[in-house]
Amino acid sequence: MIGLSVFVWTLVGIFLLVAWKRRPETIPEIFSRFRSSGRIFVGIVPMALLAAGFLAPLVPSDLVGRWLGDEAGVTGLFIGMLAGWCLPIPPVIFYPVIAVLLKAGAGLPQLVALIVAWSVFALHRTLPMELPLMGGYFVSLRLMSSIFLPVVAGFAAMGIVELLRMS
Amino acid sequence: MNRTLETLGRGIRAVVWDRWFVLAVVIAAASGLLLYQVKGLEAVRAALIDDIPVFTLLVAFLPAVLLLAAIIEVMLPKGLVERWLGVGSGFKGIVVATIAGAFTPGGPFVSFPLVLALYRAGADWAPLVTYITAWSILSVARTLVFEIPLVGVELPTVRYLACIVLPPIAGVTAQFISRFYRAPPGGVGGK
Repeated sequence: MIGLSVFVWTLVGIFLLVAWKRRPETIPEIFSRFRSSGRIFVGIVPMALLAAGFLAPLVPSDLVGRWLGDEAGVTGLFIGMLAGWCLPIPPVIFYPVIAVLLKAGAGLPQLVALIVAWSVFALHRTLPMELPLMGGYFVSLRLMSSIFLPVVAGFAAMGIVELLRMS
Repeated sequence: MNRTLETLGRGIRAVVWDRWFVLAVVIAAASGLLLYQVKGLEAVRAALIDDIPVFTLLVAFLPAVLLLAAIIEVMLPKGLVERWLGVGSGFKGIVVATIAGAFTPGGPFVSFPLVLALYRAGADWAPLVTYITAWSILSVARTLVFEIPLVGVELPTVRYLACIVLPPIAGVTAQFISRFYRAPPGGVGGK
């Protein structure tokens, strides 16, 4: 994790230098965007993390294990997909929920199915943004083409987890 | 010095007086209390200790990622992505759409208007659906900003490996479906 941080910070340094050399007038805009997108990480995200940490030990892990754990198998993929469809919430709330489920013993393939279903379906984006902008035809075409993706992703994840375990 | 303090104060007020922040504080405090009631002080302490690596990550890693996203957003020539995808159909369009979708920073306010512009410029259904699907499930920005700090590296790794081919599959399926499920006459798009 330290290596990753050093790498990203180095990248930031190089990019900033390039931006400053080429178009110094963009620097204030870069920092104002950074400030506005960074705001929730000073306030909301740490609180969400705290809440997720507190709630994880309270979630009955046998229940999560039975519905979304490795022992739930293929049924768990479908349960994950259903759960993902039913969570039209922004990522700030969604990922703490995933963190709680993961700590409570949910399996990786089942969570993959859940996350893919959430991100493809995403009513919180589709209804206010996509539908008015792109129209019903595009939305229906897109949803029809991706309706089976969560389960496909879940199966692929099962294979990948097996492979990683073997190696 | 005085001005710096003033700006700092204003920043802190902006964070603290946000409704959602207040809600988040209430939820965090309530869940902490609940844990204390049910499992006792030791469980609360264990939970806090568990959080330490995540918070370290939040401090050390996240500002860099957000800065990087801001730099890319500001510096990326606006017409670049449109030109790549505007090439339209074919295998190349789908590959480009997958990569462009995965690396498009920002929320739906960036990606959907872009798709509408591409559609008007004559792009095919396959790259359009591929692009939106890639942006939805492979979004690098969302993974770096939300997923890795909150759930670690293992789950995103498995997820990317499992999902990398899905956007092209969705795009090709859309192209196929559009042959017999035809677009309404008069075009697509509300505005």
